[in-house]
Amino acid sequence: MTADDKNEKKILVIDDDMDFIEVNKAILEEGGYSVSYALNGEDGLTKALNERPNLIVLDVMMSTIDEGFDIARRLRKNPDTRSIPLIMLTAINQKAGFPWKYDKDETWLPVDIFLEKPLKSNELLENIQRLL
Amino acid sequence: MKEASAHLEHGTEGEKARILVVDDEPGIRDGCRKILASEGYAVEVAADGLDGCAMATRKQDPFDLALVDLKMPGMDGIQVLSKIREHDPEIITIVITAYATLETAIQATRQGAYGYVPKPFTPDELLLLIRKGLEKRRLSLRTKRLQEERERDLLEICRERNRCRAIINHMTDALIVVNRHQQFALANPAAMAMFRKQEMPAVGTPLGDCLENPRLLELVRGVLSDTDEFREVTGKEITLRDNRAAMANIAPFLDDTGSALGAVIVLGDITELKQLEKAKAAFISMVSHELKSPLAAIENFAELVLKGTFKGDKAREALGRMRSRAEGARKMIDDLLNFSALEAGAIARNKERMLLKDAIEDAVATQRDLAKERGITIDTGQVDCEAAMSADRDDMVKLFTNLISNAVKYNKEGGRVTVSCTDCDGSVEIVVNDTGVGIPRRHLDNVFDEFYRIRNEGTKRIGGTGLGLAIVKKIVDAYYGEISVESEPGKGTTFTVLFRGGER
Repeated sequence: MTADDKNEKKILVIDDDMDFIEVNKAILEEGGYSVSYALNGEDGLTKALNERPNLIVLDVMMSTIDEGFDIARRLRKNPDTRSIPLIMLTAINQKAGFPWKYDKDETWLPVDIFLEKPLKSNELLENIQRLL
Repeated sequence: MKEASAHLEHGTEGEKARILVVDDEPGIRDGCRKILASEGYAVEVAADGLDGCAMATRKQDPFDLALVDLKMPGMDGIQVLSKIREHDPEIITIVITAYATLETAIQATRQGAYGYVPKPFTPDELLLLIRKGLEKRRLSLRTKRLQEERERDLLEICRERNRCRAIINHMTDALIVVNRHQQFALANPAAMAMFRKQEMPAVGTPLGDCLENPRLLELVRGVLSDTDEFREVTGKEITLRDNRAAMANIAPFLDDTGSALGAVIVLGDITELKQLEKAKAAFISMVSHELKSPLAAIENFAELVLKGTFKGDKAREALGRMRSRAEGARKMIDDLLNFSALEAGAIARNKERMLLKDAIEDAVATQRDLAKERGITIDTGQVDCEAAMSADRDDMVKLFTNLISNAVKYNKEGGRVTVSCTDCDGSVEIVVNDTGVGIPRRHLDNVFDEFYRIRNEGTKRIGGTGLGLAIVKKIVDAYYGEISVESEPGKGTTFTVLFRGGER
């Protein structure tokens, strides 16, 4: 993959924590991607539709405890965004006692990869490359 | 005298047997009196039927035996007999009959007289009949006493059974008893309610037909299973309908040979406990997430600085963010400790009459630097300097600090925070108003929930633990106060705390 190819790839980061947006933006831009971001789910959905990114990095806990799950399902439901690869990135420990499971599932958690924060920059980039 | 003492036991409760003689003939009266008195009996006489009745029906010193002449002027013997027997069915009555009219004597016997003596009679004839009669009375009195005792016992058993019933029926835990064939024997109302049964199942119904709970049936089967050792089940959780849960304790009851006759099942509803447990788990998950986020951010920033992705000003900025996130995490730990102490009610409060302006001054002092930095004025001109209440100073400082700190943090540059405090008839009202970003209406109900933070463009750079208002609410609750919030996005927010007089 050449730098030029990469420049065409656009990644949308949806996270309510400005620090993670900044950090991920820096990592992704260094990896040669162009990055846009949204600080909440609704904005994220709008940007996904308008900008048609090549991949979305999505947080879970935003204005509600599982907003990311809801956004993922809505992205998959819409034919225009259905095929955009989704990486879910969260600080939630999967072993934590929340009353739900984190198994990837067509209807329950329709994401391609589920990752836990913090992530080393190369881990994030490697996972993205796997999907693109 | 030997005989006389023997007669004693013929009487009621060990006394001398008491005999009444009713006869209009003085000779018979006196003759009988002499004969009977010489035998050790207590004898009284009446000359006519009316007198005889009056004596026989008196309350004190009841007679054991009455000798009644059949033929008397006025009230005749038959009438006297029936009156006497009406008064005491156990009394022995003996008829004296002058003309030996067998007919009337038989009639008297039919009416319940024990026997009759035809005139003239010998003392021996009389005494024989009387001894036999008194013996009969003794036996019938004893029978009566035994019967009464038995009835009393039965009553006692009934009462005991009712008491057990009442206890079982008033248990909050569900109780079900089954026989060794797992057939229904007994259930209390709590059990009926737990399994949503309108009617008590018939005794002998298989338990499986009474309640649809495979897990419970399996446990009961296990307890009653044909092993040498019957094991009781304790503290097993079973799931009920409507997402309810119960804790099952099942014990077999064994006969003398050690084989199970049946089992007693006690089920306690633990739904509330489970919910509490879940809430606790969710709280811990939230805590882990909220503590992990700043640390993850710090790790990421550090990596990018070390790798050189962030250089120069960008690196300095990253270090600033790291410091700020570390500070946030540290504050969160402080808040968590405060919160959990408040939650557990573990705080030993040093309540004293205090002026609220003192707590307000302390709180404002902690926020002065940040307010100055952002050009925000904190106005405490509306604070009644006399307003006082009985409270722990630390609590009040914490309460004002959290409210004022929010009012400063979520304010506009150059904005204003107004703190007022009024004391009206012993009720203290505290108002903290700001000119900040405001709270969207849909969030207002949740602002006092722990970890509830509104994240939008307006708040994205503002650090917070999401515990401040939860702590405020806990303190207000601890003083039986009320807190309310009004807000207009873009204009500002007002928190009002009311501590009513007499309730604190």
